[in-house]
Amino acid sequence: MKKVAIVTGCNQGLPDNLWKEYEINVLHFPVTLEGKEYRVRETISPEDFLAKVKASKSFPKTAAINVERFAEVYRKSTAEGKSIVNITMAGGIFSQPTLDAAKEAINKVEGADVAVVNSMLTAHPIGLVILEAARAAKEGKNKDEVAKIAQDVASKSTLILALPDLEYLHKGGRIGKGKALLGSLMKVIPILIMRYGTQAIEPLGKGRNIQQVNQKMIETIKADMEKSGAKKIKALIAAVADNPEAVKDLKEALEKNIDCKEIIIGKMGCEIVHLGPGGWGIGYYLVK
Amino acid sequence: MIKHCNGRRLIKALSASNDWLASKMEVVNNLNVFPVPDGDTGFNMSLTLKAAVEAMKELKDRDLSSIAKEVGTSSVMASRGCSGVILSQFLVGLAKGLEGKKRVEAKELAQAFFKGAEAAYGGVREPVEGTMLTVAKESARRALEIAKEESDIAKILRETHKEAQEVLEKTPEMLPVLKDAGVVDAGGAGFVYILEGVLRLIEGKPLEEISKVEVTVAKTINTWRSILVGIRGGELKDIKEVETIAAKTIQAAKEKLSRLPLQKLKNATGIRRVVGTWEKVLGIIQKRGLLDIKAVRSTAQRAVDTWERELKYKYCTEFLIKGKDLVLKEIENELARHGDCAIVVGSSELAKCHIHTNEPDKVKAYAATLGEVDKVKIDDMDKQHQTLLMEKEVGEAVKVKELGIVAVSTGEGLSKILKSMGVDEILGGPKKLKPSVEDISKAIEKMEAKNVILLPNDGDIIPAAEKAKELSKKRVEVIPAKSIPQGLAALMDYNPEGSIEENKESMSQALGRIKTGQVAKAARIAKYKELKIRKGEVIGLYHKEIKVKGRKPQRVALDLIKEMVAEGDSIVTLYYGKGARKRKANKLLNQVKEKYPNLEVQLYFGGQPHYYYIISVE
Repeated sequence: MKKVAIVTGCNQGLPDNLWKEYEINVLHFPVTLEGKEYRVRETISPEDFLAKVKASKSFPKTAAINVERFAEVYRKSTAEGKSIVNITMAGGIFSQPTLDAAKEAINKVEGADVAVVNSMLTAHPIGLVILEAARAAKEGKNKDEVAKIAQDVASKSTLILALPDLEYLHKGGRIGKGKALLGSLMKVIPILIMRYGTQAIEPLGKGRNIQQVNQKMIETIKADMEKSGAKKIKALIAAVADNPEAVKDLKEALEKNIDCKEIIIGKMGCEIVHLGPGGWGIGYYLVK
Repeated sequence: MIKHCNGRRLIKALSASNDWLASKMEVVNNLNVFPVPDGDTGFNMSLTLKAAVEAMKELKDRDLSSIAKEVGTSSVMASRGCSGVILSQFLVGLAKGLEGKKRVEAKELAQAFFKGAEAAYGGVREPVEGTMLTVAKESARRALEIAKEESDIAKILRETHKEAQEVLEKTPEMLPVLKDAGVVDAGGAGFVYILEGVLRLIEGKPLEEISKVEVTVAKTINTWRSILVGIRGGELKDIKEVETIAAKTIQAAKEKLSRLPLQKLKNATGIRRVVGTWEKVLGIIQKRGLLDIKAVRSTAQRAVDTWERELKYKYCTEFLIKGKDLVLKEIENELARHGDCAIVVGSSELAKCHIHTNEPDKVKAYAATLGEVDKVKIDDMDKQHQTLLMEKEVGEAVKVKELGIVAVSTGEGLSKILKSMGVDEILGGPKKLKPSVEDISKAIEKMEAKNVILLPNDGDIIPAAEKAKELSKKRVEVIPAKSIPQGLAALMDYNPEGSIEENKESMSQALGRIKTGQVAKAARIAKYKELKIRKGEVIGLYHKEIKVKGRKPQRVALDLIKEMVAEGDSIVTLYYGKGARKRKANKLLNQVKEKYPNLEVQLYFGGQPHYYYIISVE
């Protein structure tokens, strides 16, 4: 039976060591700032890129991964005798071109055996989907089984973001202006949520500091668990490079309030473009 | 001996109550539990009764039943504050008791009175004894008892009033918060004055129109505003009335000036201008000996404008034009010549127009040349919160939203913060009174939203908000926020995309997460528990108690924060009011930060009157 290779974009928040351990094929999204192109976590560190963003007057932008780059990875894995599960973020306003390219590239590579899984999500929860898929692949499950597991985890997953400066998400076109809740006179941190299948990032509430925001995240997770009857969760938490305190506080709050089967402390790269300085979030999925 | 009561007598009686209560307004205001100069119970009750009496006098049908019904209905709309709402419920109950009757004798009158007391209880979600409710109930019980034997209404009234007075004296025993403050219940006192007014009428005692030394210029301007409305409506014909009020305004304004400390006098140009313009009005009246409506109107207009300088255009005017080949941009440009905030949307057949103008008639005449004009709506923006509304209207044009929020504010800084947190419409403000049921109802109906959330931000406004909810056809929910910080905490959990049910739940839950404290100057001598407070001293309120006192607002604020902060708290927020200086507030901010290095401390300009600082801890 053929081994399964996992292919994905870089916007999923897993830390470097897990990328390596599970031999995940990560394709970095091209990011441009002031006309210059970067690949965060490949050609530049998140810290250095964030410093450039903060110093710049303009907003960074991401671009799609094109057909040729997908084809290249497919070609390599096919040559190694592997079948492929490619896990992408949601289409629509998130990245329809990337999703299309992931599918189109299959036709470019002769003999490629690829399943494209649309996670219907973005950022943190994709990390969890990939991790479970990669573990299944390592255990020797076949392409269809791995794809099914990925689909299943995604369908139980949710993303909650806390973004001190919503301008980044708005400028990146990931949230409508009406929903952006811009320009409060009070210092507040907007909290947003993306549930599987909604294809949209919706406002959830606001908090005045890290503790309040994390408390609201915990309350939301608890309510989800109660509603579905889940006993535990698996979570991935990660912040933009300048806000390790938020991650530390959220981890403590999670451990104190919720039965977590696993907590992964992740790393943000190209996500900075949409999260903006100080942004953090959690991806979680419900476990029986 | 008075054996019966009919419509005519009820009018006389309630008018007497109204006059007497109005003359005792300040007395009732001063029965504030805390010696903070924001006591307005007398004011709220008086305005509620006044509106009812005015409506009653205009009624053509002088039938007892109709008069009573009109009093009930109009007092509900005009009611403001807790006490105003309770009073209006009493009047509604009284009307029910008199329903279908042309005249009643003592027994029936006493029964109707009792029905009023019962209705008052029914109108409050959580009735508290030791308040107007108890005074009304006990005196009604007494009236019923005597009416069994006695048929002279005058005698029964005398006994009822006596009982009311006695129960009032006992209110401190029933309600500890009154005892701590050494006052009787303000609403109860108002109720006693209402009975007393009728008694004085019967006994032929004067219902003095006291020299209203305490009337501030702002309040008089409000009277003037209603006169202006009267002139516009062609109702005001009595020259004497205008003359009297002009003279009173000048006197009140001069008194206000004379009591201002020297250093403030140079800033009192607004008041001086008011005096100047009104002297002109008086001059016109006295010289010509007749009421030159036009001259009075333009002067009155100027006076009101000087007082509210920020409001350039007074009428929010809206209408539809049905026609052919309408060019929306052209109409908008033409409208813009008559005011600001001109918005025209729609199609070449139907234009929806909006403009803020001082010439609604001219605008209407222009519109009529283009086609059929329909659904004309002209609102006096004095009664709304104009500037905020303009921004709103420009931004959102005429889009109907799913969900909107109306919130009450007391200062311009607080209003701005509330708006930035998602509030669509603000009621109140430093110069305004507490909003009446009618004010709230209007804001609800005017809002271009199907569902409306109300944030009263003051315990005394919650009943009026609940009443407005009952009266509205829209889906309305009241989030019972008792302070501005509570309202802001609720707004933290407001989700404009969510349903009104979800928001009601999450926003209500948020109220308990925040503690509110206030720092104010004592307006009178007071004894509160063990604390002796001198007039002018600064007091710190928290948890319905005076916790600390001192001479400096900043020092008192620091002491109060110490009382408020507990384990698990992470943020202290200070909102400085009109009476606090920015420099001092910043100094306080640094002191609090220094003292509580683990807490996040934020300072905002609130602009609220009466309170140097509003403080929240969460």
